[in-house]
Amino acid sequence: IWSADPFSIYARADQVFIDGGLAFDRSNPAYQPVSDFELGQPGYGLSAANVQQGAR
Amino acid sequence: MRLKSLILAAASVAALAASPAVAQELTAITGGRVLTGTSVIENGTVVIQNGRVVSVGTGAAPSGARVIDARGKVVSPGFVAVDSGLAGSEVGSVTGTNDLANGANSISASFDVSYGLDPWSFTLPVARLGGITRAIVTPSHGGGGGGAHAHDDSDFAGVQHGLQSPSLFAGQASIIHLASGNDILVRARVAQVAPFGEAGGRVAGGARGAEFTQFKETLAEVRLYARNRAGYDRGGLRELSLSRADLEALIPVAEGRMPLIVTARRAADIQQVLRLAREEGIKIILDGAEEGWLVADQIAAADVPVLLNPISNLPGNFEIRAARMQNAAALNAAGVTIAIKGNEGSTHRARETRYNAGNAVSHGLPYEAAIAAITVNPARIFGAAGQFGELRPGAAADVVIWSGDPLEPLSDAEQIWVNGQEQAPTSRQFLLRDRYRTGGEGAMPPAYGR
Repeated sequence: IWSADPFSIYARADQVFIDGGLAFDRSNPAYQPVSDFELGQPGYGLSAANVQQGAR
Repeated sequence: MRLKSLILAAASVAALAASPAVAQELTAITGGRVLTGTSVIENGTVVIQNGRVVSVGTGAAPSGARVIDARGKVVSPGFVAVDSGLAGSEVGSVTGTNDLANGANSISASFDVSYGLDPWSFTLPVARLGGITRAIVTPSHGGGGGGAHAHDDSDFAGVQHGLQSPSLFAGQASIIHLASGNDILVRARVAQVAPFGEAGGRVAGGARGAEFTQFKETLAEVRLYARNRAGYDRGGLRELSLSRADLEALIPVAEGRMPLIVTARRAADIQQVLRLAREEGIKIILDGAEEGWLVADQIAAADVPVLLNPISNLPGNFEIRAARMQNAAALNAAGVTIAIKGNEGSTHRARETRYNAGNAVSHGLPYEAAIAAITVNPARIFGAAGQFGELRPGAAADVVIWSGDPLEPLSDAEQIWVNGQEQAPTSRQFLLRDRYRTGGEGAMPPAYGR
């Protein structure tokens, strides 16, 4: 589900379903994958421009 | 006399070939959504003549003007490519065509890219079709030192005994315009370039700290030289680690008159170059700054501008573990003046500058700030405020009419003026496309007929 015309530079993937299952949700941290690499690294857990790391 | 008139005749033929419309013509672009660089004017009128913007507003076209109807379209200043290799490198992997990097340690800070720029470069029309009408052509470090358009050539050609080897500096940047013709240079020697962070540490011997020591030592030598030129010429000064040409080139940097573009990506490195600038009284421009958002307030407080690529968001090495798509938005919100770069050294991909600006908008940068980051901000950062990159009276008439929002990939630059000269909307790539798409000469082998 796109926030705008998917050909637009401003469009963001709001929700991604794969085989019918919700794999990503830009507004719900429970559906944002985490990475071991980023755990505890510089910037970890911080918001940039009011956007949480997982929602980027 | 005869030679002179021949030269004049040849020059006028070249000028005709180069300029589809004469620059002197009074032209009014009416009815469009005008992005001036600092504001938006709906149903605006942009008047240009003699290569400059005459007026920008909502009035009627002046009588006698060639009127161009831009209703339903967007009118913008031409965009400014920063940290660019335009006209300085034709094919990056063919070293003979790449005049952006110099390996000799006797000509480092004094290396001046302006002499190697090619007005006939096929990189220019491609960038122009992406709305780029000016560029800050920036040297890259000659020895795997990174910096602007980093590459991994670690072969130092002309290492001379007794001089810093390799040098810390990549050389001096130039401002160019992208009008077709035979003279693109606007101003040479507008900034000096030096890599910091991992690349800078590598130059100094391996460790970041060594570069700062070497840098301070170098500035001390430059100041010593500047105070004792006569003694230097007599041979009465102690041995210095830079060539005379490089010492001369660094005087304006040491005196804070010429900005130094410092490539620094890690937040810690950014803090250290801010400290260096403070301690040495030099003027810097940050380049890269992927982790800048972590120290945005410190960058803003130092009033240091940033050249950045907003889509550099992957932790590709240990310098950019905190890279985020929101970097541009966060720096702008903190009050930092940002300029948005194109991709891969902004040479063949300088035209993508507008897409990068659009991506920054989709990740929180206000639209007007994104436009400023590719127009007025680069002009201001490089000492050319009001001269280009802005639709205002007196500025160079670099104007683009877009079919829609210029930050959208599906919008096209329909008409382009540089210094008031309308540019042919084509490039070598378009010519190749058309040759084969329309079945023209060479489209098919001779056996297949014409």
